Amino acid sequence: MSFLEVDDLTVRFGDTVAVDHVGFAVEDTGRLGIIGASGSGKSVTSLAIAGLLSETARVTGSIRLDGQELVGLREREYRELRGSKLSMIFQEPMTALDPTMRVGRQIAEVIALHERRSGKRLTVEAELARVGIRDPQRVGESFPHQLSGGQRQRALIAMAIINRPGLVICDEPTTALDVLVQKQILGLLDEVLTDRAALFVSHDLAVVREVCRHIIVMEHGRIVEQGDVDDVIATPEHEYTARLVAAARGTL
Amino acid sequence: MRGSSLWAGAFLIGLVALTAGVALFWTPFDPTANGPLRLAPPGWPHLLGTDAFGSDVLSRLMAGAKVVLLVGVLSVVGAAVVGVPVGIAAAMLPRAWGEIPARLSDILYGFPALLLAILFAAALGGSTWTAVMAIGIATIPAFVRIARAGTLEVLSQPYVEAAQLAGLGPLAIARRHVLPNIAPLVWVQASVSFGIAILSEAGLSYLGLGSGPDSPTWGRMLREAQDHLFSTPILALWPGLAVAFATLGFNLLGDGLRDVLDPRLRERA
Amino acid sequence: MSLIEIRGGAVTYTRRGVPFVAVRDVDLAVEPGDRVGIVGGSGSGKTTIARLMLGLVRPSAGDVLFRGRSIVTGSPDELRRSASLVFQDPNSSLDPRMRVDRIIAEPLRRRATPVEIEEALASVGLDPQHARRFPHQLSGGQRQRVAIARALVADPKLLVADEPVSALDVLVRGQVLRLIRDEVTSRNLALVMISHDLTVVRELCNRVCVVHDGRIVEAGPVEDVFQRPRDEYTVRLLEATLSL
Repeated sequence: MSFLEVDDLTVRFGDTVAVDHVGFAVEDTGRLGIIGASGSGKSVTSLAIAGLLSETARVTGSIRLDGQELVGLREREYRELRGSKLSMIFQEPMTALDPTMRVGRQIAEVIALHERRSGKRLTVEAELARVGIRDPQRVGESFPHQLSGGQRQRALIAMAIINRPGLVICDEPTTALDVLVQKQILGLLDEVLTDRAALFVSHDLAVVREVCRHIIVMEHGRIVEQGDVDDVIATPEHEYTARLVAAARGTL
Repeated sequence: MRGSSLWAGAFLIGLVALTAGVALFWTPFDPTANGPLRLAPPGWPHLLGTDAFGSDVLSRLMAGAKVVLLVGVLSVVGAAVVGVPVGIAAAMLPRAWGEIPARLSDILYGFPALLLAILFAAALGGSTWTAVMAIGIATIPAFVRIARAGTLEVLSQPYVEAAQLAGLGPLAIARRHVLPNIAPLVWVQASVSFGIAILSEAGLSYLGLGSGPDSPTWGRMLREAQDHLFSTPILALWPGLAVAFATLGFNLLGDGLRDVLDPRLRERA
Repeated sequence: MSLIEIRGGAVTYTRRGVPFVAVRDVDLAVEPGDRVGIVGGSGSGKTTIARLMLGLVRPSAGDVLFRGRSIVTGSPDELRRSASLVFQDPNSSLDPRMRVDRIIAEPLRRRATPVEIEEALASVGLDPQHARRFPHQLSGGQRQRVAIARALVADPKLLVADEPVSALDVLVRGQVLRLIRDEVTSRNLALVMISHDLTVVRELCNRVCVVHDGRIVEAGPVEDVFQRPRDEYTVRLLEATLSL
């Protein structure tokens, strides 16, 4: 049995089908890239797994994480799960952090939650240092707007792995960053995701290739192609995949 | 649900306006005439009863609607006409110049309508116009603030920069981009201010600083009802309800107008 | 004579009373028909250079010349008639309360005829029926096309594009870039393309300036800079660029 097993997952908003009978599995140290353009259903899929969809969404099918069924879970149970087994890293580190709170305090809040559960003692400085922040004390005392985009994303990654989750969902984690910072963050993610399962959602094949071997390609809520990332890039079977590959090559 | 607040608000305000219009020509009884029947309960011919002087409560309520609309509309419209351009200018003028209107309005903010009304009443005597002026002037800072904050927000948008590059001057930018985009804020402020104006008017006439004794207003009715609050509480109920409904009406109308005026919200039905 | 030229340009902002130098010692000349890419990381100052060029910020030192005349001491009016800007985010660069036809007509500073609007829409590949729409009724790519139509309607000589596709969906980017390239070629415009994406610049520009820490650290023909980068920062940028 795989760590994450998604089976026949369908998400509807009213009459619109955002995710259409999607199924895949990720081993406990496996990584899966989900590729697609906007509106392909890739983000809705990841939000469904994290239990972060709005109440207007109707989710059917099955999502099993470490053997536990997540579809139909109550919000309180989901919160428990997000504190222990899964976490998420978002695209925009500026909006994912509270602008009025010092970064260290935001991290301390997550640490406090985790300590209550595990009894292990952690410090803000050590957690910031884990994600390659050189000056953890100063960064901890800063407000989000005083940090660079890369430092903010590192802080968010720190928060995402405090509870040592088995599954980390990354939704376009480097899209808002410039190429130099993107490279550093991808290197960091590669490191912190080593002993966990990860989903990596992106529109950019070149980015996904840096961290994932196996990918699925989504269009209109369906999986249209899957396989080894290099094979898919070299010989895309689906026309849509071919367009994504051409876009990533950047030739006009 | 969409649009329902607009219609509910329009209905309530329409009712007040209609009542005021009818009262110009006809009321069941002379609202200022004292009758022999005092503190009569609701019935026939005095549908809502009579007050301590024997005047017909319904007639007084109807006549009061005129004053309410006059004070509310004039003071709020006047305050907006002065306050919105000042607020826009405060945001668009170079920093040092923009500070002047902003600070002046902050100083004015410190004076409650009541204090201004006392000053005006002392100089001019209490009248409906005293109330309009006092409430109007006291309402200006609210519009200056909201317009200034809204304008600063709009000015930070790239479409304003695009307009600058297109060669538009500050006046054209204010007219084409700033005003339409802060309009929803101004509407909401106007509806809130209208409610406050009605209540202030009631308070001022309650204190005798507003309209004179010959023009019945909802506030004056409330004050007179207070003397009989324990024997005839229903006397306070009518003007109280009238104030509450008119205030509610304007707030609903403001919310509804904001939604209708925004092309982005108009779609979502 | 250069179309536009920045000479020793510097821009200083004050952030909470503390002066902060955004760019300095910028020397850059754009000739008619030139296609210049300005690349650099976020916060490098590349957008400030574009704003300086268009007279949207005042230089704290140096001068900006349009056809040999200063727009700092003189009026920027002539420049504004001949230059236009395409912004990164078409959501915020179009007034949400204006319909497409009014947005496009703005640089004309008069009422546009329906034929003019139709032609402007057609030139960016949009249907005439889009004229009466509001921006929120369009897709991201269509909005950016409207922004490009607005930028071209008054027949500029210089088009500045600040990350024009980075807010767009990956499959739409190519279409919008092709549109910009085709319009620039057919109208013989000078183009200044600001981007952190070196592939975009390589496709569209013949010259490139690499900006780092508020300075131009390297400049030259695109192929020279990309094949034989001399500055260490350019090397790092090229190495970090992921491509298939």
